[in-house]
Amino acid sequence: MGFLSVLRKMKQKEKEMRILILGLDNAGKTTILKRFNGEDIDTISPTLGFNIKTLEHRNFKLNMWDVGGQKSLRSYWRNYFECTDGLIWVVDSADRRRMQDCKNELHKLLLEERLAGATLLIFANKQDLPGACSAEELQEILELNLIKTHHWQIVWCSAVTGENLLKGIDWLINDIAVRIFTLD
Amino acid sequence: MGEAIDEIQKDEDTFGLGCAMEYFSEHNEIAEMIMNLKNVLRSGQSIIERAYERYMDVLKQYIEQPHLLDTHLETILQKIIVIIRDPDVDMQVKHETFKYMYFLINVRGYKVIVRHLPHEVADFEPVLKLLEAQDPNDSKNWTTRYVLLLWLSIIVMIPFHMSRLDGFEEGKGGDQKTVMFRVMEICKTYTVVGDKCRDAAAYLISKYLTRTDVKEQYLSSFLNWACELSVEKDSSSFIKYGTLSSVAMIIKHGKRDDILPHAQKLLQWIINAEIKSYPGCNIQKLVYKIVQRIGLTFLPPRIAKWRYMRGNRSLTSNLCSGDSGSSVISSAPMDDVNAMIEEEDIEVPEEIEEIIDQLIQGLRSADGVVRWSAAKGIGRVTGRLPKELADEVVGSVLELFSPREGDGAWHGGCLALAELGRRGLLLPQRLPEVVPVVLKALIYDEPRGYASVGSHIRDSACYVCWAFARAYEIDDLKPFVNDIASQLLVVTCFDREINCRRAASAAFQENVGRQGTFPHGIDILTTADFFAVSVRNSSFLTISVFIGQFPEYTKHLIDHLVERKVVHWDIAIRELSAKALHNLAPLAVDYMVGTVLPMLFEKSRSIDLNSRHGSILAIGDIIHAISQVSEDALNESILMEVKDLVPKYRERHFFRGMGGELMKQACSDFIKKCSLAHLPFHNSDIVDDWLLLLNECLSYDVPNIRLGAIDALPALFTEFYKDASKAQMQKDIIDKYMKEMKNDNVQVVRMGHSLALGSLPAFMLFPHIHEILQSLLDAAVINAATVKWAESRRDAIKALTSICVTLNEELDSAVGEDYLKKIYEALLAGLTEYTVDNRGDIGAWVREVSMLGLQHITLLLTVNTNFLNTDLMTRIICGVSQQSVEKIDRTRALAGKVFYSLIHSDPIVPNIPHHEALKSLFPKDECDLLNWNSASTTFPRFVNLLEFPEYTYSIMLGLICSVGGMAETLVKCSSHSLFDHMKEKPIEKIERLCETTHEIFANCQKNDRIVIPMFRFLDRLFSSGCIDHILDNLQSDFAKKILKLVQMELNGCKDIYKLIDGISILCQFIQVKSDVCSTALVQLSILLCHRQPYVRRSTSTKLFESILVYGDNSIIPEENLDEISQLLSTTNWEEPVEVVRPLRNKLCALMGTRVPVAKKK
Repeated sequence: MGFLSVLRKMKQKEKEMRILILGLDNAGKTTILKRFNGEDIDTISPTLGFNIKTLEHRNFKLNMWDVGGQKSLRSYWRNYFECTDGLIWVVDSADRRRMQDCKNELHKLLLEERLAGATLLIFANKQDLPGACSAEELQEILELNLIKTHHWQIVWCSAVTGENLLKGIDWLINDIAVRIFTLD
Repeated sequence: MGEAIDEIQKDEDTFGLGCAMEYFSEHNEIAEMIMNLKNVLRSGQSIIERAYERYMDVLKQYIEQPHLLDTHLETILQKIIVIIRDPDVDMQVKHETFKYMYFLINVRGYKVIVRHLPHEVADFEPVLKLLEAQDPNDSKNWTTRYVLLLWLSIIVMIPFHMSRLDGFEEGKGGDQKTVMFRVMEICKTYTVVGDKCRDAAAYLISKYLTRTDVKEQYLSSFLNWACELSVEKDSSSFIKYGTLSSVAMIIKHGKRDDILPHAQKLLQWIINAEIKSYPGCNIQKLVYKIVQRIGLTFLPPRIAKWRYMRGNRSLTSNLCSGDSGSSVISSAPMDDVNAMIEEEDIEVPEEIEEIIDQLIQGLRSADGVVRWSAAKGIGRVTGRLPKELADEVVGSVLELFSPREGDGAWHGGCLALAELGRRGLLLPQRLPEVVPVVLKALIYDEPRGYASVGSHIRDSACYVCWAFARAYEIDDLKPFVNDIASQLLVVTCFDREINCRRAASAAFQENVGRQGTFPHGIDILTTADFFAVSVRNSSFLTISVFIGQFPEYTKHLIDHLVERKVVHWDIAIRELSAKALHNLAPLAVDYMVGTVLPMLFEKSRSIDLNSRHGSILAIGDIIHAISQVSEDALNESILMEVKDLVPKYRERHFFRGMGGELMKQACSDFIKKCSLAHLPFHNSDIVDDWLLLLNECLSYDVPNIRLGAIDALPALFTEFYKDASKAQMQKDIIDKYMKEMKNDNVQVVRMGHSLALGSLPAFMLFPHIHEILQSLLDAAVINAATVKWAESRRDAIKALTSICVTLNEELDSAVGEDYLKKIYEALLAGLTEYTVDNRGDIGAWVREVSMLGLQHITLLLTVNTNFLNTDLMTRIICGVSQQSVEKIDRTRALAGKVFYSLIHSDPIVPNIPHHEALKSLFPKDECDLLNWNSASTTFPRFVNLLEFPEYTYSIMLGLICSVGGMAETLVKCSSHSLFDHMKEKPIEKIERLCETTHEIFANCQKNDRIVIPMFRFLDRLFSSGCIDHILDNLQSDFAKKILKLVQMELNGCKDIYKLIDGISILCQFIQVKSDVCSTALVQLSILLCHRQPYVRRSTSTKLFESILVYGDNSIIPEENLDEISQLLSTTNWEEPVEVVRPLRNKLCALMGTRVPVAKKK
């Protein structure tokens, strides 16, 4: 082992990112993931467990982890925090009833030390549904402006139509890529 | 500049890869192999193995670029999983499937594969059950267990409570074990097994025990169990390794809060002296990993503030910002984000001190792997400390760089500095201390015995410089930029090791990209890139000169060479350094004269042999270089020193002993360079002194010393002995050399002086040309006293050639036709030298230089068509072409090239018979690209020369030796070429070749060099089928004549190998239907009663085989054939002659031949 092998390893690792997709149940996490992967989105049922997909985008290899959002599963989210570069928080913008719940879970997550330093992307999903909150409204409701510990961005989107998904992911990748890489 | 970036980009893409593949092209084949496994297993063992080998061969190609497999992993794994899940598939098939899967894991890496394995609740029970059904000690199917453990490790990540898998309620299951317990059992079992399953188990544990539910029940007890087991007296090293690695994995993957309660206890356990004394770097590495991770448990993570400031993950885009050095600033929405994490309210537990202490010890470890691990630990732990404490760590690391510490500590120290540096933990205030240390480490090279240590330190110092580039603001590094840049370039150009030169080049590149303040960075990078520095010669001699043209670096490069490399322990480096100084000298003439040369003269007086040797080489080279750019740069005092050098050495006996050999070589070179530099010593005694030294070297028995002197002589003579007033001296020198040439006691004396005569400049040759030539011609002849002196004959011929080349256009007039003839006779005689000693065919050297001589001299004489008459040219072409079909590859290749240069020369060589035909057989454009070393390409061309009567004899002679040779490829290529050629020819031509063969045989009787291959040649020729019609033709006397010669050779022959070959050819005559056959049979029956049992037995076997093949068709009575075969095969012919003789006589009767009677003495 020498300096050159360190360099080589680093070059490989620099091209990989680990991205964790979380959010309440029925927010559309799996649909977003399948959209990205070009899979059929008509037959999606609630995720009982977790999905892992590896995508290639802009020369980066994205390892996407999507974990079920049911209440009973949330206490197990912590099993997936390790080495996370980016966090995607998916919100069902039309589910006004559970916004408080959504806000609390998100803010709880941000206290987690293993997620410190990760970039946060909030997808205001289901914009295609009538009565969906706009991204600006959500920013208020979820009290995003209070977040000072993470680089964050909120992007409205629709997993069903695919609108704006790419924009969000591109921002996320940019933000991760722009910071210098250290091994841990 | 645009080009520069392209260049760098290109390099990054193929970083360190030898043979890059584009994509995974065999994915279908692999998938089919897996689906076909069931069928394969039904067939035999060899098919199973062959299938697996093919599978491995395909995948092995991707070991360097495993990511290419990724697009098809999913499909392939799916096929595997289907087999494994299928309850109807036989377990044996599953084992094989697991084996296939294991190899895939091995290539792609388990972490990636695991992500692709199914992890649903439904998978849990079947996988666990299958695993439980396995025998942990079965050594045959361990891959099954390994894969299942890994698979389980992803399944246990499911986000449900384990109790939901039980199928019974807690406490109500009676004796049933809970799933949680069952997995735990598996974990414990496999943690301590002897095979690789241990690693998979550790990974599984780290995923499993860190689950909230499992953690509560088992974490604490597992840690206790592992710690206790690891320190038990009778624990094997497997157990130690397994327990340590599982603990290390748990702390790595666990949540910090979960581990914290155990941290203190674990620390006590791990720093316990006993564990530290465990042997083996693998275990020690784990120890330091655990120490490090405990440290990380005690401290909460901190996020580096500057991580968005210092640029980008990808260097390429960074470089685009150009040489100005502006780093890319993040476009993140809020730049105040990190201000929230407050710096200094971190609580540091007291254990941290112990941990840092331990890690620093690890940096000193004798083992490199351990040092690496400890260094990473230092970096990570320090990253979580407050500023002041972190700086203290830096202080402790710096203490490792003391002269009292060994190379291990220096290495560890550098690694730690690099790890700290890249995390931004080396505060800019520390740079004035750190930089000088790193500069020293960059050129660390401490002699140890016959080699030195330090390449690992230099490599790691490059790592530090690379880290600087990433961590510091441009202004912080500015004061040190020049020092770092120059030193990195010194390593880039002048390191002995390729990896260090590359490392330095990479570090320099990073600095140019991120700092941008390195002088002439981009210009240098385009020349001294990662690939260019791979070749040491070009780094030393070319790249250094390019860099040296920038005044910022010139002196530093020169100084380094003078201080460290001219005196280097490796002779190759000293020689290269001298040449490098030669190339650099024109860039700094004044500096060389004013500073470097005086320093080198100082070193040339050293008692250290390496210093003397290197500095004298360097002085010579520098003086030579300076003389080329400036006439009067050298001052009087330097000239005095130059003059003094050789006499001083003689005075101090530096030319004696082992060291003297080096000094002699170096001084020869020095003398040559001084002569070439036209130093004004023309009437000085020193010149005679120099000549004396060179003359001494001529008789020395180390080849390089002689050659060094011979190389220097012409320069010395040309510069200092040319004047007419020195005519007498010239004569004395030549007389002396010619006298030494007559020496027939010591071969090297003759060799040295031959070449010395050959090296003389033309003005010395003219007055004495005939005497000189005569003495060399005499030395080229084999005579009784010097039979085995092939090397001195080689050198004499070399000298003759080089004299002719020196005379060049005046060759004709100066030498005269008589002597030219003599020279040609000597060269042609050289072609027939086949002297053999215990080294083998040493005559080949003579033949080779003779061919070269023929080539050079003939090409000089092309205009002299009278001299190069048809007769002479025929002999030359015959001789050369014979060499081009003989046995030794190297000689054959050379002969081929000489042949080719003669027929295609410009101006044209006159009077070559069939010149046009030869040209069309060897077309120029094809032969330019021909691989002359390959027998399979040259033989088919040269056999065509058999067509021409002038060449037939020589080519046939050469072919007989090759076809009758021993080496397989040689025999195959030559015999195929010959027999294919013969098969296409009409009978008359084949008869002509047979005639020639007989002629050669007759001419070479009793010459075993030809006769033994001739036997084998005939054997192969007879069985080739090419001459069947001649053998069948009763009018032809070919067989008879050959048999007669064979008989004469075998008569009284004592050489057993020759006899055996003779038997084979005798047996071939059975197919001839005439009295030849019976003569051969009589001869064979004599051999059946030879006094050597081995010969008797060989004869019987060969005879038996031949009768089987040719018996039906021969003159042997057909009705007796069975009995003959019976008798031959059932008799033990190794029994005493008296016993077998009656049987032999019976055999003769059966064959219808007369019984041989022993000659009366």
